[in-house]
Amino acid sequence: MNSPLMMLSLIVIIPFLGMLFVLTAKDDAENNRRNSSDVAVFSILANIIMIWQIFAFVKKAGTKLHLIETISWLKLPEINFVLAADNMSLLLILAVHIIILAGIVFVRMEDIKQKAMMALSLLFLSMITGLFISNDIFSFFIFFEGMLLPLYMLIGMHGALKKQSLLKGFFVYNFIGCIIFLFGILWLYKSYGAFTPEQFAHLSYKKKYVVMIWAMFMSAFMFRIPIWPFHYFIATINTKIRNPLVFLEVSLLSLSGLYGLYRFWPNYIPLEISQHFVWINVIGILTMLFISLIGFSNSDSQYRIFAYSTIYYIMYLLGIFSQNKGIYANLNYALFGFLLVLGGLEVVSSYIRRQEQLFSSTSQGFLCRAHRLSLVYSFLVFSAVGFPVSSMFTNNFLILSQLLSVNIHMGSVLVLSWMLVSVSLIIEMLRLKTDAKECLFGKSEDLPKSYFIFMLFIIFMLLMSFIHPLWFVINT
Amino acid sequence: MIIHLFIGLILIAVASMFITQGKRRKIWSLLLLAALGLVSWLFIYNISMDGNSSFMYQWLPYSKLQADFSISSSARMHGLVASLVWLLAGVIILNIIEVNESYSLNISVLNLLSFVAMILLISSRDMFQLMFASALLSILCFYIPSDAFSRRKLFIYSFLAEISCFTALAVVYDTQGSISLSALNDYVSSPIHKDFVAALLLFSLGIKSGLFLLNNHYSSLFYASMNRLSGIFIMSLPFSALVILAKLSPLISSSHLIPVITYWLIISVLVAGLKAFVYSDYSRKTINLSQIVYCGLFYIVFKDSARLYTIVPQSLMILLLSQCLIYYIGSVCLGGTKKNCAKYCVVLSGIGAVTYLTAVVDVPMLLKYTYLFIIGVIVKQLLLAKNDNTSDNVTPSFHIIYSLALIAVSIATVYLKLDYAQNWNWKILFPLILALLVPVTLLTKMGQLPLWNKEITENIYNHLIVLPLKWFGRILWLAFDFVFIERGIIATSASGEEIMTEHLRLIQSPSFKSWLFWLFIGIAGLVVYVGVHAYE
Repeated sequence: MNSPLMMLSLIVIIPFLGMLFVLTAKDDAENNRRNSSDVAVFSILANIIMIWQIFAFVKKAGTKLHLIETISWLKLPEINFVLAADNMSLLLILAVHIIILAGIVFVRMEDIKQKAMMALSLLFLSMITGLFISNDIFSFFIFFEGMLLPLYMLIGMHGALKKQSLLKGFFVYNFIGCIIFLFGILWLYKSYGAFTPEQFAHLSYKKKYVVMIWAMFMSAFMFRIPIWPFHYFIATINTKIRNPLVFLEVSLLSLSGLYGLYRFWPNYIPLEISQHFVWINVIGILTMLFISLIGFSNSDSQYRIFAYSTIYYIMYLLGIFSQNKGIYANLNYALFGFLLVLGGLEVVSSYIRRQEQLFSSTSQGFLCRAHRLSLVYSFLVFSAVGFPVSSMFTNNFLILSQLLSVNIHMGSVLVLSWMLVSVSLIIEMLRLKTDAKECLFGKSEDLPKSYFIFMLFIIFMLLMSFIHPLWFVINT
Repeated sequence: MIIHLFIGLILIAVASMFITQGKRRKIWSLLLLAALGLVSWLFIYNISMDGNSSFMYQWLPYSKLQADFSISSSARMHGLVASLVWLLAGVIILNIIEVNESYSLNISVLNLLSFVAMILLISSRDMFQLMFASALLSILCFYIPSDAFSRRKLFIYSFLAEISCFTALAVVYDTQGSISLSALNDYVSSPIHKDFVAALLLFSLGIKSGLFLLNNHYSSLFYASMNRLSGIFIMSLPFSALVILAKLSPLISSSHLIPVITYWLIISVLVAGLKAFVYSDYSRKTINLSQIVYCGLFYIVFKDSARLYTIVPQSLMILLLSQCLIYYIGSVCLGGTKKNCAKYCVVLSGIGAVTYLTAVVDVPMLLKYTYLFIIGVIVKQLLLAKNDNTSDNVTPSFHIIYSLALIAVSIATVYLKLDYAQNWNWKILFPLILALLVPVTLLTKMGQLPLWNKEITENIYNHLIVLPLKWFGRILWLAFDFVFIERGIIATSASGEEIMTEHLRLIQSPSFKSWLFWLFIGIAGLVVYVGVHAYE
């Protein structure tokens, strides 16, 4: 089914247009802060409404991509932009929009120049939206690599990196992944032209090339996921970022790798490759254990949130490698809930850290009188650790049961890692809720009402997704 | 219909949140009680009309799961639910008539919501509802202790229990392909990883029940409760363990861990009993006494899950009401009037007698003699309270009559049941020792009687019981906690981690060139490997 009114292209273009508006906004100190973030918020809200409308056109069942749009680009060689969507991609796009909106809303309080940040964030949003609705290898590649440019600039400006060599290393590291990916695409293009993900699943090539092609595609996506040995730069950069919006955007890098693996998974995997999947499982599990132990022993709340996101990303990665249909069917809902929880936790934690800095004191017992913040934070932590208050509970159950059936030992270590990182989040929450002898923070330091309402919206989305994952879809 | 009870309780709880702690606390509590009485009357009336009550709603839309939100009450569950309703009403009554305490209305709200969660748990027919209700109870109990340290321990332990149960059920779900609890028998017929599942469930139930080694979070709970009443409702956690055990017992029964359960329970009873005896603090005594009872109930439910609906409600009511009274005796008799003391003592004696008879008549030996212990310690504590406060005490004659009656009943229980009366073996020593401990306990503290010299008795008590326990505790601490855990596990893992992280730090040098070098080594290795295999 073709997309009416080129809606998919619109949801890519709207944030891009928003970026142009932000760039043309007045450079006055007071107006700058208000105008640029207002434009960004408006663009994202408009896009969310568009995405909500697109859901109505996409069929609920099946993983086939719908609403195909083709925009011709080059004639020789023949390369077009082909876009299509399904529930998976739309849910991810919606989640990404909501968490970036949350990041922008909470960053408004910061006393920093926001124009560049808003512009780059909108560009990043446009790129990642395009990534999720790409139905063609070249479109995918362009958006896959295009999202790195705003990210580098954001990390450079707001990443609080003391050593620029880290950023250079991060750039080279991703660049190598890009080169490998491009080489693989060009190799296949020579024989098959520009193929879609569905065609990639059925491609057949000479046996001696299978391993090479597979290795190229897989390594390009794995470079984005914080699994050993690819984890070093991602971990170092993520944990140093204190800006919530930038942190969330860098966290979404791993999501792009996961999505690539999910989309470009072939139907037939040769034995020479599948027999080595166990090593990926082992490495993944050990990385999870390592990161969870560090997160447990580290008192930095940012590292704990990073550890939490890493554990889940690797869990989903192992789920993809298990090639289990049950996991594939639930992955979109799982990622949706996970992203909302991650976004909510990060923005709320950053708010608490900001108050800590303003008052130059420890945040122990911060929530003693901040009842709104306490409610939001508690709910998000309960969701994050897997209590049955959001869809995370159901999806974790389904995914974990499949992973435990694949290998009980691997599953046990996975559960242990998950438990460690959850306990670290709980300890953090309890530290904030501890009754301090003097409650330094009063009601004035509590979450402002407008922000509280926004967080209630996220909580509402999580609760409703538990009861009915696609409750907001209007059937046409 | 039970759904009316369920919704009614939620509405009452929500309405209660808007009631402030103030001068009209008792009026609001009475209104609360009236509302509770109305909804429970509706429930009981409908049950008596129809016999069964059920409400089902297709909750989660995942096609594979077919999870239904179910609230049902059959004839056998009716007794359990009704007992809990009366218990709840009793607790609210006590909350009304007693001296104004902090957070008393908020605690009543939490109690109501705990009861709502209990209904969900009891009527659950699938894993999701079971885990949902269990987690809800854990979250509610989090708000009861006021002490931050106790709250942290309780919540982390509860979380570990929930995770263990979650993991065990995830394994079972994958095997049987359904989350329905009635399909557990399909899993049992061809169990995969049955010991792993059973171990996880036992760990979870052990934490909730407060069994030996897993009851660290209970020791200071009562003491740290916001309100005396709230401490009692922390006991809803062990009761939830009984319900979960009843629902998931096929998973444990099919494993090889059954002997472990029996020995674990026995050790838990012994340790809790000794603690109840040794501790002089009211709250810790009560915690340990209740743990004894829960161990007995655990055993009963494990052997026959249907007993959850018969023996458990009665035992639970008696246990929790007696704990209520212990608490109130502690405060009233220490500074109250003779009339109130006597009244409470008579009521407590009556409860003790009923409990005793129940213990003698229809429960295993283990539980019988634990009840002996409980009564002995309660009365001991009662006497302690009397002796500590010289004014307004109950007359000594009451003590003598009561203690003599107890001694007679203690000896009678040993010989009334004919199972062990004819055969003298080591098993009969255990109940005899317990039975004798009761009068010894009583008499050592009754300085009025000329039978025993107080100093000699206290010395005997000290050398026979207190000192050996201290030595045993020290040995356990040295051998187990210090040598095995601290030096063996923690120090070894700490030094191992130090060595590992030191090497990892060297490998993960921040030098860009070093990283590039290792990356190219890796790529080279990969290319060689691929090349070798591609061209084989």
